[in-house]
Amino acid sequence: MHRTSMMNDEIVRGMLELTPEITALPGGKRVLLTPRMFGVPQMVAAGEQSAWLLSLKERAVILGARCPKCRQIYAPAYLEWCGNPPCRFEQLEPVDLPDTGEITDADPVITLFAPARMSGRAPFAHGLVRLRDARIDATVDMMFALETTDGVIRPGIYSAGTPVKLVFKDNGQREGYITDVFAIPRAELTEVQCRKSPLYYSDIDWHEPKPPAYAEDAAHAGRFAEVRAQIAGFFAGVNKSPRNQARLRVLDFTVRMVTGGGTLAIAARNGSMELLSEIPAQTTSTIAVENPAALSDWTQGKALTNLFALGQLWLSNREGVRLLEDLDRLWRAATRDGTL
Amino acid sequence: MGKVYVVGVGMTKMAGRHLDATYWKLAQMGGRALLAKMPDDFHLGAVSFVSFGIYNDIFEGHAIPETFLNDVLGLHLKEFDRVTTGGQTGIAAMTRTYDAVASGRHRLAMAFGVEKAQDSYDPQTKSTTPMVVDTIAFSWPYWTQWPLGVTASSSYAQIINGYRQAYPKDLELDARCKFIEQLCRQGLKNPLAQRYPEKVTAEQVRDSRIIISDIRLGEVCVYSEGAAAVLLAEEGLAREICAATKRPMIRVAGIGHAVESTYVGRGFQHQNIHLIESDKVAAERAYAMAGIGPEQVGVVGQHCAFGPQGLITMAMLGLAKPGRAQDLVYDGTMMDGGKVVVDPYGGLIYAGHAVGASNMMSLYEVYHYMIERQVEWGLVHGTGGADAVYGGVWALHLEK
Repeated sequence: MHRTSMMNDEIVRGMLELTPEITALPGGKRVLLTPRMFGVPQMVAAGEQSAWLLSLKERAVILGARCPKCRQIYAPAYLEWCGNPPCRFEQLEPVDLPDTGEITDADPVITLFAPARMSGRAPFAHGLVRLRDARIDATVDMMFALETTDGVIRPGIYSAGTPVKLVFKDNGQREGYITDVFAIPRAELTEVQCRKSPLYYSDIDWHEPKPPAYAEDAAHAGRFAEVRAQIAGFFAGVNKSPRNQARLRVLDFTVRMVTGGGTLAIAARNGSMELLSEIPAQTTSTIAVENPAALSDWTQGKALTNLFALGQLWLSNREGVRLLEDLDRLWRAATRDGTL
Repeated sequence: MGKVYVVGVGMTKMAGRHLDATYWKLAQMGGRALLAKMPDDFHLGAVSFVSFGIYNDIFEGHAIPETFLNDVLGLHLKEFDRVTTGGQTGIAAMTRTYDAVASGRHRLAMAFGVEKAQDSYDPQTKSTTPMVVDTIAFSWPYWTQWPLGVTASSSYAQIINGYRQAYPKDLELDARCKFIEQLCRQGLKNPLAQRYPEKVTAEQVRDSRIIISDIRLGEVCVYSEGAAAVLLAEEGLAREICAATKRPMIRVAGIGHAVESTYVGRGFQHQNIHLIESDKVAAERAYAMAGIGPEQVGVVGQHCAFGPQGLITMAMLGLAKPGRAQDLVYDGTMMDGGKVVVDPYGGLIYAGHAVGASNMMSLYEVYHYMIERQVEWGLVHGTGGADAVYGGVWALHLEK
């Protein structure tokens, strides 16, 4: 869909609405709903950003800008004239930047709690990349979205110094925007892919992620039956909680939970949580954690989300992060309602 | 430059939502809180200059919202302006006010912060926070960082990760959780705090949900609605007011500010990701102006938006060596009975973060603590902007 076609009449009418509606909230306090203020459709001047945005769209290249006086290289070419005071706003020279580099001297950030504009897209990561090769070394680090070929972004894939390669959306798919490009760890690519420039989205093998294969462990297997029983007891308390009942009425999901001691499945349906007697062929998400004791801890209030954030829990898809949040709320709500 | 004194402070109750007030009434609530601590015959007609700290127009739902506050607070024909520098807005407005008095152009001036952040609303989640976070994220450029999901949290997390890259042994989770527990315990003395009377333990902080990187929800400040005001006077008038209020003279002895680039890199003007250099430079400037060193500071009101950042800030303020910030927790320096008290009434983590008013709230905390405990030197700190690039520090001196 072309971006301008999203400016349909309904959206524009909503944005231009002049008259807010006064409405009472539960408890009687009043709010003004949907005033026009700041809902401004815009046609933002691309101005000096045009050159690198067009290079991105038309050539799949990050255009930088080099100062002939101080030799700084800006990435991307977000300025036309150098900002270094002694250079007195010298005209910068365009330079094609390498599509390789490494994560700057800080571990990238993985966001789990999404702002409104990224709703449904967590977890996502972005990080600063020092674009360089044997020929060019950009002096400004550039921020990119960080992806992996292996399922959901998670800790341990990127850290400070990780070598990366830029991947561009395919020809005809790029809009001339920063979201046309992202970084991939070079370790996930073949030599051929690493040498190809530009490397496109369709050049990548986006394989279906598989849960980690845990070695058989007698201790974990012994603990697993106990954990199943704990989860069943936990759900009995959870399902008595009015807060949980209200929330579960609008939830419908199944989760396969793989551990080093065995696999189980749970579901939220018909307003309650269930421990399923069989593993369904299809589930909303799969989570994997080696030690089944982690699930026991979950029934006692330890957040599953934290296991994921610390790299101790594997998720099959992004949807799983939202489900972890739902699962973590069960204990809190039941505790507040006194049903555990 | 003439000497300038803090002669009055006031703040409203901080709340996640003030549904009973627009920012106009919030401003009047702040004004009333200020007057409650002044002589009965004092009113804002005595003030000749006001600088407002208001973070952004979107929170208030108006463009140039301060325009209307002159009527709301009765400031007709006063000299009047507004400052906005991200999370550092409050201290920047305070410094603007200081300059108005120190220059000799005004005898009595007021810095006033007000914020109505939680009118932002996300219809997708039917809650405010994702849209509040999104609104703050408009601080990043539309053509580079913003579309990638950058937020205040992610920018602080990046700084924290950068610091840890240089100092991997600092910022242990145990120290971070105890630090937050300490701030919250101090907040239990503050009925105006948003979270009052919630009790928070280090274990609760540790077990709370990670929202980004390894940072727990329990380590993050609360978003608040509220107002705070600071009155500054030249020496002669300050003596009269302090005699009337029976409060000691507290002088603004040192001020430092600095800004750094939002871009990280190796060029002359680029951000060093291992530090919050603007804070460091601002603190050095404030100490130099006051003629003191960090070892003389007894209380700090700092902009602790994220617990690990708060610890880094202590190092930037010179109160710990970089890489040894957690020692302040482990050796008891900033714990109960320690040499330095940080955020004596809860700070942003517990009392609240009504952005434009926050640094004034920090001054409120430091001012009262200095008087209560007869502490000779105190610091107020603010940071903010896209990637925490603005730093501001005040050094306050209790005259005996």
